[in-house]
Amino acid sequence: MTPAPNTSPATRRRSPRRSTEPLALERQLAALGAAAPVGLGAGALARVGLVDTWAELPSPLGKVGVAWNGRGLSWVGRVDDPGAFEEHFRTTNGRPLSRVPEVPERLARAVARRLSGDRRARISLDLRGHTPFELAVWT
Amino acid sequence: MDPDVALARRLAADLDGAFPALVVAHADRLYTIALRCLGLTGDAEEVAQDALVRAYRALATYERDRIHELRLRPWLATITINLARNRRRRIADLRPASPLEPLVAGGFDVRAPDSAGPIALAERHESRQALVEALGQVPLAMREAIVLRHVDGLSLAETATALGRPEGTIKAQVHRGLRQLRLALAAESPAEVPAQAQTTEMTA
Repeated sequence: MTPAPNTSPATRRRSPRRSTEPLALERQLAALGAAAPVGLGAGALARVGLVDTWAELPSPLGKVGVAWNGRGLSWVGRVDDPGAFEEHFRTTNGRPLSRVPEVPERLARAVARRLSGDRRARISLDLRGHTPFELAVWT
Repeated sequence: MDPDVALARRLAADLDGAFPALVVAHADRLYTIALRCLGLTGDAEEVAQDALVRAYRALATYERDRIHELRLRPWLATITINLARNRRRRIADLRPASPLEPLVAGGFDVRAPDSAGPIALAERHESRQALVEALGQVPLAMREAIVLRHVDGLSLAETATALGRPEGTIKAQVHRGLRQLRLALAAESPAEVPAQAQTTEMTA
């Protein structure tokens, strides 16, 4: 078979590759997807207040559970049984709740001041889902 | 029905109930867009999470009909690209990239199974890493177009919508960006890919 004019053996060897490489590059680009780090999605949901986080906090009233999300403090209650605390929160608020080791320092300080009777300590509250009567009592 | 159309309808009906599904469906792609535009994993994570938070807050202000008609993929891409641009401006001259971050961004994973054999695995990581580094050298406007069009897989029209540029501009930017990528990769391994850098066909 006679080679086409003006083509070197090297070019002829590469010619099949030339027709497929552009698509190969696009396939390689399509394979550059990366899995989001664990916690990215949950963090976003917590920030918008669709997932809450809680931790125990010592107080003058004994050990209390403090729950919060990106909108503010969402629950404070006694913790005799962590499982019961979580179940009560989910039933009352209808949102998932996950436990972490500690309440963030700033929030912990503000809650401790309020529980000690200092009403000047300002805390953002997330009281969605509660009745007008409850809101009138608490705020 | 297109899953995003169904998701938009669910969001219109019950934002709080459906938003977790949006996070599950789009977190990986928004992280990928941010990572491929910025090149840094920590910044990409923050940008992708900020994009999801902004999306929720925007949706909370939209009328139900507007959410119903929303094309989620390009809309979320726009939010992510804008946040990535802002982040890039802030970090541009402030700190150099960690020497290890490009490895992670390139897909290096010490836990990866080695069923393909250590040599094949190393070559795959090497070629992926070369592509990530070459992409990082492409000018930003072209890189954004390539990332949305070929990494994220948006259509030409969706890419144009997401970036707010005419389709013809996107097509040209993708074409020129791909050519730059081929030249960069050819320079990396000249014996293997000399011909592809010469291609002139439009592949946007």
